[in-house]
Amino acid sequence: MPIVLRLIKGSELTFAELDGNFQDLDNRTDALEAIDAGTRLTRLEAAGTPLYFDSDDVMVMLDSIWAGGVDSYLATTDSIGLASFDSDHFNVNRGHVTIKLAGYTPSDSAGIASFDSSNFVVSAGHVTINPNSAAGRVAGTTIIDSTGVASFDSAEFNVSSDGHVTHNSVFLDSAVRSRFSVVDNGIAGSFEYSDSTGVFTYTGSPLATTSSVGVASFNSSHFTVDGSGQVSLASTGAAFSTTFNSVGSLGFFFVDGATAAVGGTVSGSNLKYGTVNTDGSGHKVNQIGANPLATAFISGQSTSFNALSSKRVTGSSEASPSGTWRNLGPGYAYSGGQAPYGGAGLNLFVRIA
Amino acid sequence: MIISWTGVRNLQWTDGSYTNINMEVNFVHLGEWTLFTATANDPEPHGRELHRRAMNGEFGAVSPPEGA
Repeated sequence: MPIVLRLIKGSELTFAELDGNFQDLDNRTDALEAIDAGTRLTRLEAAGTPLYFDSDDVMVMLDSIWAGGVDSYLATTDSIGLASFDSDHFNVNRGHVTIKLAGYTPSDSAGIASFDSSNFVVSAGHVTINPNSAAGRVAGTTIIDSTGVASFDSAEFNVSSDGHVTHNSVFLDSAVRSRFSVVDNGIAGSFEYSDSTGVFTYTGSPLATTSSVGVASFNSSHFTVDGSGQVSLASTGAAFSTTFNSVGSLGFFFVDGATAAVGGTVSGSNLKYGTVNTDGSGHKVNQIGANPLATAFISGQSTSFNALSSKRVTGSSEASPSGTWRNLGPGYAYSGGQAPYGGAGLNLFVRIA
Repeated sequence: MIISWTGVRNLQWTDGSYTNINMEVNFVHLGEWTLFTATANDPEPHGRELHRRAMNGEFGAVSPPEGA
Protein backbone atom coordinates (compact mmCIF):
# COMPACT_ATOMS: atom_id res chain seq x y z
CA MET A 1 0.00 0.00 0.00
CA PRO A 2 1.58 3.25 -0.97
CA ILE A 3 2.00 6.09 1.47
CA VAL A 4 -1.05 8.36 1.70
CA LEU A 5 -0.20 12.00 2.44
CA ARG A 6 -2.63 14.27 4.30
CA LEU A 7 -1.98 17.27 1.99
CA ILE A 8 -2.52 15.19 -1.10
CA LYS A 9 -5.65 13.52 0.18
CA GLY A 10 -7.11 16.84 1.43
CA SER A 11 -8.93 15.30 4.40
CA GLU A 12 -8.18 13.55 7.62
CA LEU A 13 -6.46 10.19 7.20
CA THR A 14 -8.25 7.12 8.36
CA PHE A 15 -6.71 4.76 10.88
CA ALA A 16 -6.17 2.22 8.14
CA GLU A 17 -4.34 4.82 6.01
CA LEU A 18 -2.23 5.87 8.98
CA ASP A 19 -1.31 2.28 9.71
CA GLY A 20 -0.73 1.60 6.07
CA ASN A 21 1.79 4.45 5.91
CA PHE A 22 3.72 3.06 8.83
CA GLN A 23 3.55 -0.45 7.38
CA ASP A 24 4.98 0.77 4.09
CA LEU A 25 7.86 2.53 5.82
CA ASP A 26 8.50 -0.55 7.90
CA ASN A 27 8.66 -2.74 4.85
CA ARG A 28 11.15 -0.44 3.24
CA THR A 29 13.29 -0.42 6.34
CA ASP A 30 13.26 -4.21 6.32
CA ALA A 31 14.34 -4.19 2.71
CA LEU A 32 17.21 -1.85 3.41
CA GLU A 33 18.29 -3.85 6.35
CA ALA A 34 18.37 -6.95 4.13
CA ILE A 35 20.79 -5.34 1.65
CA ASP A 36 24.53 -5.86 2.03
CA ALA A 37 25.58 -2.31 2.89
CA GLY A 38 29.11 -2.99 1.69
CA THR A 39 27.93 -3.49 -1.91
CA ARG A 40 27.92 -0.51 -4.30
CA LEU A 41 24.44 0.33 -5.46
CA THR A 42 23.34 2.03 -8.62
CA ARG A 43 19.99 3.79 -8.51
CA LEU A 44 17.95 4.38 -11.61
CA GLU A 45 14.59 6.07 -11.75
CA ALA A 46 11.93 4.17 -13.62
CA ALA A 47 8.35 5.40 -13.68
CA GLY A 48 8.77 7.14 -10.34
CA THR A 49 10.06 4.05 -8.69
CA PRO A 50 13.78 3.85 -7.94
CA LEU A 51 15.62 0.81 -9.24
CA TYR A 52 18.84 -0.21 -7.64
CA PHE A 53 21.61 -2.15 -9.34
CA ASP A 54 24.68 -3.24 -7.62
CA SER A 55 28.06 -3.04 -9.31
CA ASP A 56 27.94 -6.63 -10.35
CA ASP A 57 24.69 -6.07 -12.13
CA VAL A 58 26.12 -3.00 -13.89
CA MET A 59 29.23 -4.85 -15.07
CA VAL A 60 27.10 -7.65 -16.38
CA MET A 61 25.08 -5.17 -18.39
CA LEU A 62 28.18 -3.39 -19.74
CA ASP A 63 29.82 -6.61 -20.67
CA SER A 64 26.66 -7.48 -22.54
CA ILE A 65 26.66 -4.14 -24.36
CA TRP A 66 30.35 -4.24 -25.40
CA ALA A 67 30.40 -7.90 -26.15
CA GLY A 68 30.45 -7.12 -29.99
CA GLY A 69 33.39 -4.73 -29.73
CA VAL A 70 33.41 -0.93 -30.18
CA ASP A 71 33.33 -1.05 -33.94
CA SER A 72 29.96 -2.71 -33.92
CA TYR A 73 28.46 0.36 -32.25
CA LEU A 74 29.96 3.04 -34.50
CA ALA A 75 27.53 4.97 -36.63
CA THR A 76 27.44 4.26 -40.35
CA THR A 77 25.80 6.12 -43.13
CA ASP A 78 22.57 4.23 -42.63
CA SER A 79 22.56 3.31 -39.00
CA ILE A 80 22.56 5.00 -35.64
CA GLY A 81 25.65 4.61 -33.59
CA LEU A 82 28.58 6.32 -32.02
CA ALA A 83 29.99 9.06 -34.20
CA SER A 84 33.50 10.36 -34.43
CA PHE A 85 34.49 13.56 -36.18
CA ASP A 86 37.30 14.08 -38.65
CA SER A 87 39.44 16.87 -37.28
CA ASP A 88 40.09 18.07 -40.81
CA HIS A 89 36.52 19.19 -41.05
CA PHE A 90 35.18 19.46 -37.50
CA ASN A 91 36.12 20.94 -34.21
CA VAL A 92 35.05 19.05 -31.05
CA ASN A 93 35.37 20.91 -27.81
CA ARG A 94 33.90 19.48 -24.60
CA GLY A 95 31.53 17.49 -26.70
CA HIS A 96 30.43 20.47 -28.73
CA VAL A 97 30.93 19.90 -32.43
CA THR A 98 31.43 22.76 -34.93
CA ILE A 99 32.07 22.66 -38.66
CA LYS A 100 35.26 24.03 -40.03
CA LEU A 101 33.76 26.41 -42.65
CA ALA A 102 35.76 27.74 -45.56
CA GLY A 103 36.97 31.19 -44.71
CA TYR A 104 37.44 30.25 -41.11
CA THR A 105 40.41 28.18 -42.10
CA PRO A 106 43.39 28.96 -44.32
CA SER A 107 42.49 29.26 -47.97
CA ASP A 108 44.44 26.19 -48.92
CA SER A 109 42.94 23.97 -46.31
CA ALA A 110 40.11 21.63 -46.82
CA GLY A 111 36.73 22.69 -45.56
CA ILE A 112 33.18 23.38 -46.50
CA ALA A 113 32.87 26.25 -48.86
CA SER A 114 29.92 28.56 -49.27
CA PHE A 115 29.19 30.58 -52.37
CA ASP A 116 27.96 34.14 -52.60
CA SER A 117 24.75 33.89 -54.57
CA SER A 118 25.39 37.29 -56.16
CA ASN A 119 28.43 35.89 -57.87
CA PHE A 120 27.74 32.15 -58.17
CA VAL A 121 24.92 29.86 -59.01
CA VAL A 122 24.80 26.56 -57.08
CA SER A 123 22.45 23.92 -58.35
CA ALA A 124 22.45 20.37 -56.98
CA GLY A 125 25.94 21.03 -55.67
CA HIS A 126 27.15 22.18 -59.09
CA VAL A 127 28.75 25.60 -58.93
CA THR A 128 28.85 28.00 -61.90
CA ILE A 129 29.76 31.66 -62.16
CA ASN A 130 26.79 33.97 -62.16
CA PRO A 131 27.29 35.82 -65.44
CA ASN A 132 25.17 38.70 -64.23
CA SER A 133 27.03 39.25 -61.00
CA ALA A 134 29.36 42.14 -60.43
CA ALA A 135 32.40 39.97 -59.82
CA GLY A 136 31.42 36.96 -61.81
CA ARG A 137 30.07 38.42 -65.03
CA VAL A 138 31.89 37.70 -68.21
CA ALA A 139 32.86 40.63 -70.37
CA GLY A 140 30.88 40.69 -73.55
CA THR A 141 27.78 39.22 -72.00
CA THR A 142 26.90 42.39 -70.15
CA ILE A 143 27.52 46.07 -70.60
CA ILE A 144 31.04 46.88 -71.67
CA ASP A 145 31.94 49.06 -68.71
CA SER A 146 31.15 46.43 -66.16
CA THR A 147 33.76 44.55 -64.26
CA GLY A 148 34.17 40.91 -64.94
CA VAL A 149 36.18 38.33 -66.74
CA ALA A 150 37.30 39.43 -70.16
CA SER A 151 37.96 37.32 -73.19
CA PHE A 152 40.04 38.42 -76.12
CA ASP A 153 39.46 37.83 -79.79
CA SER A 154 42.47 35.95 -81.04
CA ALA A 155 42.03 37.70 -84.36
CA GLU A 156 43.26 40.88 -82.73
CA PHE A 157 44.97 39.99 -79.47
CA ASN A 158 47.66 37.72 -78.13
CA VAL A 159 47.28 36.42 -74.58
CA SER A 160 50.42 34.97 -73.05
CA SER A 161 50.47 32.18 -70.51
CA ASP A 162 50.84 34.72 -67.72
CA GLY A 163 47.66 36.45 -68.82
CA HIS A 164 49.47 39.39 -70.44
CA VAL A 165 47.49 40.78 -73.33
CA THR A 166 49.10 42.43 -76.35
CA HIS A 167 47.66 43.59 -79.62
CA ASN A 168 48.79 41.51 -82.54
CA SER A 169 48.92 44.57 -84.83
CA VAL A 170 46.24 43.03 -86.99
CA PHE A 171 43.35 45.47 -87.05
CA LEU A 172 39.89 44.30 -87.90
CA ASP A 173 38.33 45.94 -90.92
CA SER A 174 35.53 47.30 -88.79
CA ALA A 175 37.99 48.96 -86.42
CA VAL A 176 39.91 50.57 -89.25
CA ARG A 177 36.84 51.68 -91.15
CA SER A 178 35.38 53.35 -88.13
CA ARG A 179 38.35 55.70 -87.99
CA PHE A 180 37.64 57.38 -91.32
CA SER A 181 35.19 60.04 -92.30
CA VAL A 182 34.84 62.44 -95.17
CA VAL A 183 33.87 66.05 -95.52
CA ASP A 184 31.75 67.06 -98.46
CA ASN A 185 31.80 70.80 -98.78
CA GLY A 186 28.97 70.77 -101.23
CA ILE A 187 28.87 72.73 -104.48
CA ALA A 188 28.91 70.35 -107.41
CA GLY A 189 29.41 66.61 -107.06
CA SER A 190 29.48 64.61 -103.85
CA PHE A 191 31.94 62.70 -101.70
CA GLU A 192 30.69 59.93 -99.43
CA TYR A 193 32.14 57.22 -97.21
CA SER A 194 30.62 53.97 -95.96
CA ASP A 195 32.08 52.74 -92.68
CA SER A 196 30.42 49.37 -93.23
CA THR A 197 32.23 48.70 -96.50
CA GLY A 198 35.17 51.09 -96.17
CA VAL A 199 34.50 52.48 -99.63
CA PHE A 200 34.99 56.13 -100.50
CA THR A 201 32.72 57.24 -103.29
CA TYR A 202 33.33 60.39 -105.25
CA THR A 203 30.60 61.35 -107.63
CA GLY A 204 31.77 63.90 -110.09
CA SER A 205 29.96 67.08 -110.81
CA PRO A 206 27.06 66.81 -113.24
CA LEU A 207 27.01 68.93 -116.32
CA ALA A 208 25.91 72.46 -115.68
CA THR A 209 22.48 73.55 -116.82
CA THR A 210 20.82 76.91 -116.84
CA SER A 211 19.39 76.18 -113.41
CA SER A 212 21.97 73.97 -111.72
CA VAL A 213 25.63 74.13 -110.83
CA GLY A 214 27.88 71.71 -112.65
CA VAL A 215 30.77 71.26 -114.99
CA ALA A 216 30.64 73.71 -117.84
CA SER A 217 31.92 73.22 -121.34
CA PHE A 218 32.63 76.05 -123.70
CA ASN A 219 31.42 76.42 -127.23
CA SER A 220 34.56 76.60 -129.32
CA SER A 221 32.78 78.93 -131.70
CA HIS A 222 32.71 81.54 -129.00
CA PHE A 223 35.39 80.61 -126.47
CA THR A 224 38.91 79.29 -126.35
CA VAL A 225 40.30 77.41 -123.39
CA ASP A 226 44.08 77.21 -123.01
CA GLY A 227 46.13 74.50 -121.34
CA SER A 228 45.87 76.14 -117.95
CA GLY A 229 42.09 76.20 -118.12
CA GLN A 230 41.90 79.89 -118.80
CA VAL A 231 38.86 80.80 -120.86
CA SER A 232 38.94 83.58 -123.43
CA LEU A 233 36.45 84.93 -125.89
CA ALA A 234 37.16 83.52 -129.30
CA SER A 235 37.96 85.91 -132.10
CA THR A 236 34.62 85.02 -133.63
CA GLY A 237 32.85 84.74 -130.28
CA ALA A 238 29.80 86.67 -129.23
CA ALA A 239 30.46 88.89 -126.24
CA PHE A 240 26.77 89.39 -125.73
CA SER A 241 23.76 87.20 -126.10
CA THR A 242 22.85 86.94 -129.74
CA THR A 243 19.23 86.19 -128.97
CA PHE A 244 17.13 89.32 -129.20
CA ASN A 245 15.36 90.27 -126.01
CA SER A 246 17.25 87.73 -123.93
CA VAL A 247 19.25 88.72 -120.87
CA GLY A 248 22.62 89.97 -122.03
CA SER A 249 21.40 91.03 -125.47
CA LEU A 250 21.83 94.54 -126.85
CA GLY A 251 19.36 96.71 -128.67
CA PHE A 252 18.80 100.23 -129.93
CA PHE A 253 15.51 101.51 -128.60
CA PHE A 254 13.55 104.67 -128.27
CA VAL A 255 12.40 105.48 -124.77
CA ASP A 256 8.72 106.08 -124.36
CA GLY A 257 7.13 107.34 -121.17
CA ALA A 258 10.28 107.09 -119.15
CA THR A 259 13.73 108.50 -118.75
CA ALA A 260 17.01 106.84 -118.04
CA ALA A 261 20.45 108.25 -117.49
CA VAL A 262 23.41 106.35 -118.84
CA GLY A 263 23.72 103.38 -116.52
CA GLY A 264 20.11 103.77 -115.41
CA THR A 265 17.48 101.14 -115.91
CA VAL A 266 14.12 101.20 -117.57
CA SER A 267 11.34 98.70 -117.99
CA GLY A 268 11.09 96.99 -121.35
CA SER A 269 7.59 98.36 -121.84
CA ASN A 270 9.11 101.85 -122.03
CA LEU A 271 11.40 100.89 -124.88
CA LYS A 272 10.25 100.86 -128.48
CA TYR A 273 11.51 99.29 -131.66
CA GLY A 274 10.00 99.22 -135.11
CA THR A 275 8.26 96.11 -136.29
CA VAL A 276 6.11 96.76 -139.31
CA ASN A 277 7.85 98.84 -141.88
CA THR A 278 9.49 96.15 -143.92
CA ASP A 279 10.54 98.72 -146.48
CA GLY A 280 12.86 100.23 -143.94
CA SER A 281 10.78 103.30 -143.37
CA GLY A 282 10.28 102.67 -139.69
CA HIS A 283 12.69 103.48 -136.93
CA LYS A 284 15.89 104.68 -138.47
CA VAL A 285 19.13 106.14 -137.24
CA ASN A 286 20.36 107.32 -140.57
CA GLN A 287 17.22 109.28 -141.26
CA ILE A 288 17.13 112.29 -139.04
CA GLY A 289 14.92 115.27 -138.69
CA ALA A 290 16.21 118.77 -138.08
CA ASN A 291 14.57 121.46 -136.05
CA PRO A 292 13.89 124.35 -138.40
CA LEU A 293 15.26 126.68 -135.82
CA ALA A 294 18.53 124.83 -135.72
CA THR A 295 21.60 126.21 -137.44
CA ALA A 296 24.11 124.29 -139.47
CA PHE A 297 26.64 124.98 -142.17
CA ILE A 298 25.27 123.13 -145.16
CA SER A 299 26.45 123.51 -148.74
CA GLY A 300 28.45 126.53 -147.84
CA GLN A 301 25.61 128.25 -146.10
CA SER A 302 25.19 128.75 -142.43
CA THR A 303 22.07 127.04 -141.18
CA SER A 304 21.07 126.82 -137.54
CA PHE A 305 19.96 123.58 -135.80
CA ASN A 306 19.38 123.11 -132.12
CA ALA A 307 18.54 119.43 -132.28
CA LEU A 308 18.59 116.37 -134.51
CA SER A 309 16.45 113.28 -133.91
CA SER A 310 16.27 109.85 -135.44
CA LYS A 311 13.19 108.81 -137.33
CA ARG A 312 10.57 106.98 -135.29
CA VAL A 313 7.27 105.44 -136.23
CA THR A 314 4.67 105.03 -133.56
CA GLY A 315 1.53 103.16 -132.72
CA SER A 316 1.16 99.64 -134.06
CA SER A 317 4.37 100.00 -136.01
CA GLU A 318 6.47 99.52 -132.94
CA ALA A 319 6.70 97.08 -130.07
CA SER A 320 8.40 96.77 -126.69
CA PRO A 321 10.83 94.15 -125.46
CA SER A 322 10.44 92.29 -122.15
CA GLY A 323 12.40 92.55 -118.95
CA THR A 324 14.58 95.30 -117.60
CA TRP A 325 17.17 97.20 -119.60
CA ARG A 326 20.13 99.42 -118.81
CA ASN A 327 20.92 102.50 -120.85
CA LEU A 328 24.41 102.24 -122.32
CA GLY A 329 24.34 105.70 -123.87
CA PRO A 330 25.34 107.63 -125.76
CA GLY A 331 23.37 110.02 -123.54
CA TYR A 332 20.33 110.52 -121.40
CA ALA A 333 17.39 108.57 -122.78
CA TYR A 334 14.34 110.77 -122.88
CA SER A 335 10.95 110.34 -124.50
CA GLY A 336 10.69 113.95 -125.56
CA GLY A 337 12.16 114.91 -128.90
CA GLN A 338 12.56 117.58 -131.45
CA ALA A 339 10.50 118.08 -134.59
CA PRO A 340 9.96 116.81 -137.15
CA TYR A 341 9.95 113.19 -135.86
CA GLY A 342 9.07 113.98 -132.28
CA GLY A 343 11.03 111.00 -131.07
CA ALA A 344 13.99 110.82 -128.85
CA GLY A 345 17.38 109.76 -130.01
CA LEU A 346 18.07 106.08 -130.14
CA ASN A 347 19.96 104.74 -127.15
CA LEU A 348 21.82 101.52 -126.81
CA PHE A 349 20.44 99.25 -124.10
CA VAL A 350 21.45 95.90 -122.63
CA ARG A 351 18.93 93.64 -120.99
CA ILE A 352 19.95 92.97 -117.39
CA ALA A 353 16.93 91.10 -116.05
CA MET B 1 22.83 82.97 -115.47
CA ILE B 2 20.23 81.85 -113.00
CA ILE B 3 17.93 84.76 -112.31
CA SER B 4 15.92 84.71 -109.10
CA TRP B 5 14.12 87.30 -107.05
CA THR B 6 13.02 87.96 -103.52
CA GLY B 7 9.83 89.92 -104.13
CA VAL B 8 7.37 91.26 -106.68
CA ARG B 9 5.10 94.31 -106.22
CA ASN B 10 3.16 97.07 -107.95
CA LEU B 11 1.78 95.13 -110.91
CA GLN B 12 0.20 97.09 -113.75
CA TRP B 13 -0.91 96.23 -117.28
CA THR B 14 1.41 97.84 -119.84
CA ASP B 15 -1.42 98.96 -122.11
CA GLY B 16 -5.01 98.43 -123.06
CA SER B 17 -4.25 95.10 -124.70
CA TYR B 18 -3.99 93.61 -121.18
CA THR B 19 -1.27 91.29 -122.37
CA ASN B 20 1.98 92.31 -120.73
CA ILE B 21 2.48 93.34 -117.13
CA ASN B 22 4.81 95.89 -115.66
CA MET B 23 5.99 95.17 -112.16
CA GLU B 24 8.69 95.92 -109.67
CA VAL B 25 10.92 92.94 -109.01
CA ASN B 26 13.68 92.66 -106.45
CA PHE B 27 16.17 90.55 -108.38
CA VAL B 28 18.89 88.86 -106.37
CA HIS B 29 21.63 89.73 -108.85
CA LEU B 30 20.64 93.43 -108.94
CA GLY B 31 19.92 93.79 -105.24
CA GLU B 32 17.27 96.47 -105.64
CA TRP B 33 13.68 96.94 -106.78
CA THR B 34 13.67 97.24 -110.55
CA LEU B 35 10.99 97.90 -113.13
CA PHE B 36 10.34 94.81 -115.21
CA THR B 37 8.06 93.97 -118.08
CA ALA B 38 6.78 90.42 -117.98
CA THR B 39 5.52 88.87 -121.19
CA ALA B 40 4.13 85.46 -121.93
CA ASN B 41 6.57 84.88 -124.76
CA ASP B 42 9.68 86.21 -123.07
CA PRO B 43 12.72 84.27 -124.35
CA GLU B 44 13.91 84.05 -120.75
CA PRO B 45 12.31 81.40 -118.47
CA HIS B 46 12.18 83.76 -115.49
CA GLY B 47 10.28 86.32 -117.58
CA ARG B 48 7.69 83.74 -118.56
CA GLU B 49 7.43 82.51 -114.95
CA LEU B 50 6.88 86.02 -113.59
CA HIS B 51 4.18 86.60 -116.20
CA ARG B 52 2.48 83.27 -115.48
CA ARG B 53 2.46 83.77 -111.74
CA ALA B 54 1.26 87.33 -112.11
CA MET B 55 -1.58 86.15 -114.34
CA ASN B 56 -2.46 83.61 -111.64
CA GLY B 57 -2.74 86.40 -109.11
CA GLU B 58 0.15 85.12 -107.08
CA PHE B 59 1.63 88.62 -106.71
CA GLY B 60 -1.64 90.36 -106.05
CA ALA B 61 -3.98 92.43 -108.19
CA VAL B 62 -2.82 94.00 -111.46
CA SER B 63 -3.65 97.69 -111.78
CA PRO B 64 -5.27 99.06 -114.94
CA PRO B 65 -2.93 100.55 -117.54
CA GLU B 66 -2.22 104.24 -117.49
CA GLY B 67 -5.03 106.24 -119.05
CA ALA B 68 -7.57 103.47 -118.65
